[in-house]
Amino acid sequence: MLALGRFLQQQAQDEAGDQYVDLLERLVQRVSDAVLLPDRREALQQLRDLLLGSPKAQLAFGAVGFPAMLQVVRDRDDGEMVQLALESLAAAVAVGSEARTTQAVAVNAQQLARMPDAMPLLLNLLEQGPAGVPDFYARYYTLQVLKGLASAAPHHLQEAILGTPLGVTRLMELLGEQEVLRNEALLLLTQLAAGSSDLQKIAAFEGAFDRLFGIIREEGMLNGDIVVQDCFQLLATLLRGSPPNQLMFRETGFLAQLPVILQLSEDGSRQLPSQKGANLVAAMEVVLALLPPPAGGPMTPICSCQAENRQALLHRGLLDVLIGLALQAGGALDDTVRAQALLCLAALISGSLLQQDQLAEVSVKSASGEVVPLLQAVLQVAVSAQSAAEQVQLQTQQQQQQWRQLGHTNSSASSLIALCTSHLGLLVTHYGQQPVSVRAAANILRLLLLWLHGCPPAVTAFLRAVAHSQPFLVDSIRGSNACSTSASSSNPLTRSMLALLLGLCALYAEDAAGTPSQQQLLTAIDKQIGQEQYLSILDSLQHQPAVKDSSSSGSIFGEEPSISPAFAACLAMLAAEVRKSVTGDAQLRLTAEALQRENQQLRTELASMTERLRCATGNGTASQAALEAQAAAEAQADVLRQQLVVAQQQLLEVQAEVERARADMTAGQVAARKLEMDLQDLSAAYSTLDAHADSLQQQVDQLQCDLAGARQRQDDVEVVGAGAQQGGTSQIELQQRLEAVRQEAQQEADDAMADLLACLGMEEAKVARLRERLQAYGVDCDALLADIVVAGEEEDVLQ
Amino acid sequence: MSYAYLFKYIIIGDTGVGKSCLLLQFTDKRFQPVHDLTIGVEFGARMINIDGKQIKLQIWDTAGQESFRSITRSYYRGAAGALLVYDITRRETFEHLASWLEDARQHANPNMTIMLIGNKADLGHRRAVSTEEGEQFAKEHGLVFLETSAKTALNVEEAFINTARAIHGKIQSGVFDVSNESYGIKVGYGAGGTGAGAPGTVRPGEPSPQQTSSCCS
Repeated sequence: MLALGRFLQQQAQDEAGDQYVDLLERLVQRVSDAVLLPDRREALQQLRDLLLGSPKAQLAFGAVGFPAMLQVVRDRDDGEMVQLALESLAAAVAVGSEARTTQAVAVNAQQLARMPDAMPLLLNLLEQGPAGVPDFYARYYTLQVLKGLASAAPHHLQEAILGTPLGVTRLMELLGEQEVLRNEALLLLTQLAAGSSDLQKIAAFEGAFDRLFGIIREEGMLNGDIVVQDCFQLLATLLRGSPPNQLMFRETGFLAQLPVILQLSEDGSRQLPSQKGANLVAAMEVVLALLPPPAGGPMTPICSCQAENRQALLHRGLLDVLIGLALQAGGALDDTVRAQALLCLAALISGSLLQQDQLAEVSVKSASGEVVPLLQAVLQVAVSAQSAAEQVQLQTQQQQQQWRQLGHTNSSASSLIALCTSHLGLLVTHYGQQPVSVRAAANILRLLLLWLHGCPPAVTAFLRAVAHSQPFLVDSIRGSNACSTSASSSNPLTRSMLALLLGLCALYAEDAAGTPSQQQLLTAIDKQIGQEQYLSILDSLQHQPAVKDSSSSGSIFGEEPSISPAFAACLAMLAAEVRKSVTGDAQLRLTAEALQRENQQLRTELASMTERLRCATGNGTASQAALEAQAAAEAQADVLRQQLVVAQQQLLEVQAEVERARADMTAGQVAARKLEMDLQDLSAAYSTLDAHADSLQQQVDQLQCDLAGARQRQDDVEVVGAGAQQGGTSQIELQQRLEAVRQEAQQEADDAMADLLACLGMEEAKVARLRERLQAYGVDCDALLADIVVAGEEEDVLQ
Repeated sequence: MSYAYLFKYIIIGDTGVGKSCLLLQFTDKRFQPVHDLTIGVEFGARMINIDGKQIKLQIWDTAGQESFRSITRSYYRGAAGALLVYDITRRETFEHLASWLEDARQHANPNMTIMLIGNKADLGHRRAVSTEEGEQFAKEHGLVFLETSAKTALNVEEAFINTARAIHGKIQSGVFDVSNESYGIKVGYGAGGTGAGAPGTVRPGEPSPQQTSSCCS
């Protein structure tokens, strides 16, 4: 029998598949149809052997074999047959070691998971007592089938188990069974519960916490083997993202036991066996499930459920336990444990000023035995450790607030900044070749960015520290560092972050003695780097792989610097802030200059126009009325000029305003309001000019009327002169003179009119340009002009 | 906090009858008029005192929608008590009681104590099911009956506590094998003693950590 099986297996491996499909079908048929039990058993054994060796047979098995196997399991005529059928099923759906089998396995698993009655049948096998199968191997292979399905078709299996009454209950009960089955069930439940809130909750309802803590105790707590690690992992899976389960975990007193479990005994030896370290890390995974890192950055308030978790954990002394694991006397002698403990510490104080302050006041013993403030110890780890640096920075992010307070109150902060800065300088200029220092530079830069943001005293401290080497920042950003052969200074991420750092300095510089002022820093950006290049370096930050893939950063200790999503968001925010200040400033300046130029032009044109008007007035002596009108026009022009002077004054004020607005972008809006008023004035001037043109026209009409009158009188005189010959020549002379004066006046009035109209056209163009500017500031020009028209009409009425 | 017994409850009934509000009123003593549909099952816990014994109630609030029925069934077997809730202003929720009861009988352990609750008693002017009908239904099916208002807290304490009293009575009379946790009962420390509280008093619950919401997402 065995020989035949081996023979078949051999053949299956060696030759083409078709005939094995035939063989497979024949065997399945024999399993189903044979009359004698031994025949069926034998066929089933051959079938299993065939499946174990041949992916082709496995692939073909699904369609033809599943119903027959399930039928065998359903009938339960013979224990051995049930066991063999389950083993065959497991061979068809369980992921083997060979890569080429995975496709067959996936297809089969999908197929089996979709069979409507398969899941209840399999789950019922696991029932305790007479309803289930008592046989160990049958149960074991049932679990293997389920595990295969959980890997290949997790959603189908989750649905199927939820749809089966007591489905989860059956799996939970396995946790109380024989060790092998229990351990298999642990893994299966972990696979299943991830991502299904219903399965999470039903498992908790079925007493998962109780059972898991029971197993952890039985296995010797942290000293236990990998089962303890599996238990913690399942606990974390059940709690992650499930407020009701977290509530239950708190309410039933399990949460209170966590700090006790994490406490390492104080027997002197801090050496951790690797499994104990792994157990600790898994246990801290449970803490992280209760206190997930906030998505929105360190100061985002956390939800009430998390707040309660934190309160309870703090109440039970988790803070001290974590400090012990992470930092006290150098922390646990296991990188991953220390890193995980720091991550937990960060989660524990995140979003809570109170806790952050508490932590800032804690002192710890360093590895060398000296007592230092906790933050300093963290910083030492940050600048010296390599594997844990990432984690430390994560924590530092949460402690932004303390850094800030330290910057205000603690003089040692400036020495810490100096320490960071000198490290940074070294990393960027000298040790740039190694990827490690790229990462370390990124970490220190991250620390500095968070530290300096919104904290002028820290900026001053930083600027003092780099006072002699501010060109170093600029050069590194430009990429023209004296040591620019180093990888770090040419590393785009480092460069972008340095640029951001410089921008932050420019934003928050205090103008303190001995440090460059905001203006100097901005000028440095403008002149030494060039605004465009600076901005493009800033923008390139968003395209760095480390930033782009922040959410999917897989390895914590990878060679490339990895950035948490929260920090990536923070970077984007900082970059936007810096960008706004750098470009906004320049824009305002440009606008002000343009306005000034226009104002100047306007003034010259008005002056020349007034001059011309005056000339016209001077020549038009023939008509008193014209003279008066011209005088009035001149007076109006004076008014206009005054108004323009006022406008210019206001524009100068705006310019001053704009200068001041450099420190604060919001002042730009004030400037916009000023500009709005200016346009109003200019428009008023425009309408005055308009009125002036009208009056000139009237004058011209008047002049013409006068001339007509004069001619009439001349005619009269002629009539009179016909009788009095001696007055004839003078009469003609007068007429000629009058005609000449009239033409002259007409000519001059026409010229003045043409000038005025040209001037008005230019004014119109000015207004259009001003309107564009104002619209750029968000002023509603139409409304404004409408107001002005109304005002003008009112004035007209008054006149 | 130590307890003599731990009882697991579930709250079942049509959607919108006020299951979550009953739980919130019982555990947090507050009423939330606008409540999103319960998705799946939420959880609440409170300590009470029956005959001088501290009893911890763990209560799972289920989703009433038909689509969650199969998930809700997973909770029947492990529960010691069930609050079957209908809305006195919506007759159809009363008419669906039989189907809920059938589900419970099929999936729950036969000794599960079921309390019939006619909720929204504060809306008497819109009543569609009379108190007598409720009483009659309870009597026919061997249930305990109360009309409650999650809004005014009328009878809410009583609903949960009377259920616990009934379960406790069954334990005393030996109906349950309390070592079998599938009945939804767990024996704590001090089950034999008189507990910490004075006999006969009902404690409103533990201090601060107890004042929690079941819906803190």
